[in-house]
Amino acid sequence: MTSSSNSSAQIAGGVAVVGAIAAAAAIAPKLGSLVGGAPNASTATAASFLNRATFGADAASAQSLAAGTTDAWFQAQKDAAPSPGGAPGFWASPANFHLAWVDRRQADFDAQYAAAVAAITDPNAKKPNHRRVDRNQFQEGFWARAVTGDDQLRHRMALALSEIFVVSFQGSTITPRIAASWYDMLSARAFGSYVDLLKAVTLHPAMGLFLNIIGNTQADKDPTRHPDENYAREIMQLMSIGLVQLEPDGTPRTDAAGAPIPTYTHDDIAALAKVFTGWGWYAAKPTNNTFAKQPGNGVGGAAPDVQNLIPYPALHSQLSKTFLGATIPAYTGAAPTTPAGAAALADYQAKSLDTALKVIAAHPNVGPFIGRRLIQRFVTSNPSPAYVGRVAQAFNGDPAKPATRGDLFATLKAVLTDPEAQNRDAALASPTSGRLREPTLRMAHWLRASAATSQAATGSAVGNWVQFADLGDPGYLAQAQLEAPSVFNFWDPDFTPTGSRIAAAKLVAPEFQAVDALTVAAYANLMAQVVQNRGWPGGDVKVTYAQEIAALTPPTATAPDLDSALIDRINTLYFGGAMSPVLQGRLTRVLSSTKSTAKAPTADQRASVRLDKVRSALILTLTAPEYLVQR
Amino acid sequence: MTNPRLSRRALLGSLSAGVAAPLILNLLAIEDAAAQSAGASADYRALVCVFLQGGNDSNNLLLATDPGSFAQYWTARFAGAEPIAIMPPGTPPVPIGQVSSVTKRTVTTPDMPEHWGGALPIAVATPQPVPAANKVQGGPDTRSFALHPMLSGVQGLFAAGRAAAIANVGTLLAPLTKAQYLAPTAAAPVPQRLFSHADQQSAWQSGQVDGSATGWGGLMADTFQAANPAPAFQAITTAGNTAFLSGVSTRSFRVNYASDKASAQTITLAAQKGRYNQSDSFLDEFRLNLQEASLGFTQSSDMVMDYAEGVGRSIGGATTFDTALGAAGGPYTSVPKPPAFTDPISGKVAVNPLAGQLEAVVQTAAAHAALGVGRQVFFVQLGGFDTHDGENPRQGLLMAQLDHALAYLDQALTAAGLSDKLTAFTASDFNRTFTTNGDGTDHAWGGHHLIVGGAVKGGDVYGTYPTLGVDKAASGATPAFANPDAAGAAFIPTTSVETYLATMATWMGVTDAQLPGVFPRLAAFPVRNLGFMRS
Repeated sequence: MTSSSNSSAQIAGGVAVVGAIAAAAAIAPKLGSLVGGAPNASTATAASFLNRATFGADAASAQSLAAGTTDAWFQAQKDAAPSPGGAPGFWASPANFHLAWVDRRQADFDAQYAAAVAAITDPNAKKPNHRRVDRNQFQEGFWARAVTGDDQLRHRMALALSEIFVVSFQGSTITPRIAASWYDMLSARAFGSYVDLLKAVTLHPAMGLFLNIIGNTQADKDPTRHPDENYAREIMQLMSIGLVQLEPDGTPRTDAAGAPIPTYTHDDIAALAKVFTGWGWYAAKPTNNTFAKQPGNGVGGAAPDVQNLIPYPALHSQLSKTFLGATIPAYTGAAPTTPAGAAALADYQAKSLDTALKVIAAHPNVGPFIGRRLIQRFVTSNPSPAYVGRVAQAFNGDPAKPATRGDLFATLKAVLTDPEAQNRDAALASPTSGRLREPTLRMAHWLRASAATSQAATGSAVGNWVQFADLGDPGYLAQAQLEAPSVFNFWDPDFTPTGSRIAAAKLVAPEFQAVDALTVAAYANLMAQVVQNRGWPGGDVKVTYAQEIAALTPPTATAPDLDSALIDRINTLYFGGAMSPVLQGRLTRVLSSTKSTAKAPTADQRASVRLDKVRSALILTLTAPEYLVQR
Repeated sequence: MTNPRLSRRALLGSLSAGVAAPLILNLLAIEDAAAQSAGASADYRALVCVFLQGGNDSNNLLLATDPGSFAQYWTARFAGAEPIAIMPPGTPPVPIGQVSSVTKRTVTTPDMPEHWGGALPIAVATPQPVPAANKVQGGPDTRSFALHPMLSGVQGLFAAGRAAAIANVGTLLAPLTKAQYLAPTAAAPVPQRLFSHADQQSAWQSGQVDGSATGWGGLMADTFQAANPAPAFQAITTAGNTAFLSGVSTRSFRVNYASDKASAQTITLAAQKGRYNQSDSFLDEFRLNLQEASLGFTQSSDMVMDYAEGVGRSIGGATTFDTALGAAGGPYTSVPKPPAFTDPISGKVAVNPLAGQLEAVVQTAAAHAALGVGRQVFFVQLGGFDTHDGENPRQGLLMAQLDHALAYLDQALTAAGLSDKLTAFTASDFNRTFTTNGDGTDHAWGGHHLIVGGAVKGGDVYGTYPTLGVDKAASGATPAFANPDAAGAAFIPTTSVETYLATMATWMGVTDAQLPGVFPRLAAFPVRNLGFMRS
């Protein structure tokens, strides 16, 4: 992740229209698209693509993609590790990154504690604090990978999946290790098959805790009780098929009276709830006591706290279960009181789960339902039915080959390479295109484009990415990973802001659900602060603006600053070349008004002016409504 | 005029574009009136929606404790691994380590209902007959009622006549019997997407499933525009965007409640003047940049303009709000702080977020004159009610928080002289199942709610408390049981959310002629006013 000043200059040269802003104002630039097999798109076009597909374009990645092809890029991303090339241990494994991160940080704290204890000479001295990892250490790993990781597409997909398959620290007893293990699972499954993901989601202890699969007990012979319906309801409503029947292009199917047709009834939920009975915590010797008793924190991926849930056959419903038009027959084998019976019932339980998840995954709604959600997470809040239809088709695969159904990599590629995603001239000409960037993506974009580093980094290690606050607080970003207020995520896919133009157009803008008088101000304050201070509070996460300053610096000491080169760079990396003439004019005015008060500024004074120019330009960029809406 | 929220500059610009001039000038006059911030209306009134997010198990909020009703309750809830039955009224709390004479269980943890003591009885002004299916031979003809054992403060407000309850309220499109629920017709439709959180939260707040653009509080506030020279502050939230506070022209304004004084969020650099980053123009450009689209430089993007206008409202509102609240010795200082809250499960002093939100509400209400509003609608929220499991510790704490917050609200209103001017009511996604799933409950429908304030005709239970019990076929000597008021473990509401809210809207001054505009389905129900508000 390094880039020379030379590369900045190349970037500046890659954009046709900047500098002569007034003259260009009337003509919209032709932005072009990335075509799968064709190399040599403009750096700006490449950056625009990366701003959708990754945590944000930086100079090196934009130039690299511009010189290559998207097909090659997708292949490289499919194979990428979080960070190869001499990075130690877990950095090589997308499937074990976050858990190893949290364990490493606990080991750090343990070592700090041991050192503090060893340093005590007074036997009566107060014991030092032995710090335990908390959710901040999970967040650290997320940011380290988002800002410096090489497997950008995988990590970005994990973020999207974490907002569709939602678990949260809020209102649950999910530990940092369980959260990390959950994110590892999403990463590992991000490019796999949908039905495999659904099974991994169902059996992960994070979901077991969050939607109460753990502890859910059959009530076959107890008319006063019923199995817990929480997961049965939400897996259908939010993670697979949704509430109403969909056409292949995602538009709701209607009955003769024009009303949408529900996908399921409460009877379907009650039946499916029985499938999710009798799944409990992993234990080497399972008993009724281990079923719902959360194990303490272990270390490493094999510890019980992060193992998949296991069957507790005696607690699983043996009744027949009919849902979504399919029936799982009742258990008719030997009584589970015998070892053979218990084994047979455990087998019945496991097969019932597989059957149920296959029935859900085979429902024709899944393609358009999941397709629309992924489009909203990556490209636009209001895709055309045709776009949803094309993505659904990619999800459905080849009907003659059932194994091709639910290929998430193919689905994601269809989302990102669709003409509707790529045709930016059309998007910019439409008043209803685009999406509000998630606060996380805005912050990550700035950190990446500015080549942020963690100060604790030494050698090839990447440091700690120390969190300065709970970014999920509405006084900061109002979004932090696995901190959604409920299973409905931070925003509802169908949210529409009151009295807005989007509402008047009968369209949706999910991310606006987190936009209010408080959060817009808090966001502006936060970005103005971190940009100005060149890093997060606390001092660990820092930027130097070396590339930005290099772009500004003239070839000779007496020449004027290259203001337009800085604007070019920002236009390329943050706007994919589509910065409005209004904002270009504003940046030009502000940069030209930034001067030392000294009559004959020294080299240091000129350097300080350049730093302030970078700060001002980035504050204006990151708070500009036209940046916040990605089109 | 399709968009009454066009900015002043856009309005002036559109004068030349052929929009009817008198209307625009009229709107500008309203803005000028807001700027002058006219004095308080003597008849200030405010309504506070206390949203219990996740679906409160109100079967444990308001209990029918006559013998037949309570027997059904006990059968349904004293079951499973962790029974969720509240003890009968009069049961003394059982200390940890001792055996309950009611359940014969040893109390081992502070989250066992035995440890809390019995439900707290309340006397009601209007007796409710015991329904036939809950009658026991030789038993009383009228029902007795009691509150969750954590609600001792609310019990006091009932006795003082400043709190009432309403039974079995829920989302309805028209009155609905059990037979109609089981076989719906066009004339007696069943509401869409029952039991779904997002949809039923929306239905409670707006009458529409998820995605509704307007809600009842916002539509109510739309009718107050004339009484509110500064409509920016007629709908205040402490909890982000909600359907409830969205009107056709009303938008909610979010305030901070974390500190001792309710406050808006100021954008620091936008409030700063002079030179910044060695530039004389940066701060001016920064201010313009934040809200440029709203100032008329169309970006040909709806979302860009919507965002920019949101920032504009934030900046404009923050200054006015903080000025109104900030005056030293101003009216907000008459509002006492919430007393310390002790978590009844952990025994530790803890923050009660609901009390903090209500503190901000009363402070804002106390400053209504300076804010230029005569009518206000508020939204506050407490989360965590989705008690699919661990219901005892979770709901026990939530009930204690609700009680502490409502008792504090009563004190604060009295201290601020607003007791009969502000009414708070609870709302929630839905009630939960009458039966247990072992250690919790699932999504259901009709439930019971609280109304608090000096303008409430308190000390009574309004609406009709349902028959308790779950349908059961005859088995041996046990006869069949049929509950005419419940479908499975969910009560079919006998009072619609519309009627509940319309009663308070009328108190707020929404006229009979305006009511259908706010509650379009009100005409489907026989009663428009449940009579629980003084006029």
